[in-house]
Amino acid sequence: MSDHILKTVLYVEDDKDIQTIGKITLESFGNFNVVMCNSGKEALEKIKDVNPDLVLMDVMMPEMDGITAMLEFKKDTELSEIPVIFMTAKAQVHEVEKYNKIGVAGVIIKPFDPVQLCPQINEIWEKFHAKFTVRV
Amino acid sequence: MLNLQSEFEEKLNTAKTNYLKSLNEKHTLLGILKDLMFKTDDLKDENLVNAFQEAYGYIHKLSGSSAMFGFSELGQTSNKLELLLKDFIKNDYSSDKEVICENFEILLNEIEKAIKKD
Repeated sequence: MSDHILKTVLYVEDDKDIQTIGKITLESFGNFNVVMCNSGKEALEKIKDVNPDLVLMDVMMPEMDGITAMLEFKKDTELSEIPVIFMTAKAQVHEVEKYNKIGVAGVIIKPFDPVQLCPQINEIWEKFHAKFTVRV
Repeated sequence: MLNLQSEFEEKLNTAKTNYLKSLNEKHTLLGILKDLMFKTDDLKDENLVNAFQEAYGYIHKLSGSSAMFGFSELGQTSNKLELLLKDFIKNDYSSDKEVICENFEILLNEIEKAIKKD
């Protein structure tokens, strides 16, 4: 177990129906503080005020997609160490390779199983911090 | 864990009720798009191209959300149509339109079934 506590999640998703089920799941099973955004652009505007422990983000979104938003986070030293998980249906091998290249902490495939979502997030969270500790 | 599960199920049921209401709206909207998509073959008609792209967007969302709300058959049907539409758009609207029309009809029926069932 890492010493890092996962409390606040910035959840970026444009589909209202998936937002609803995702938020219920994250709050009920993860007991996380969940802050919602509808696009990468909105996430970029809110992220510093929210100061999340983790960003859980869709890839295909209007205004600004997940990849562009993540690349913007990486440019900013205040944000570059915040782990980002992509939650997407676009998860073919070449797509996941592309996400890994830009430094995503993990990928969760949509449609997701609500019961499995928080364990999947926690697993990615633990791996991310284990890797980070070894690097340091 | 049991409390968490029941709290989750209670919230999920409320969300599912709202989702079912939204399925009615989705059914109406997809019906309108279907009429636009299949009334002409003229690819110079901007409405036709827009209708296909709009339908693809809606069906992509339906495919993602329906399975999560427990409508697995609707999820499978919409996923199949999503892939057909994706190929159709990618191939400059030149593949078999009849297959898409048939699957569109199947999807509309599946939405009706989901609404009636619950």
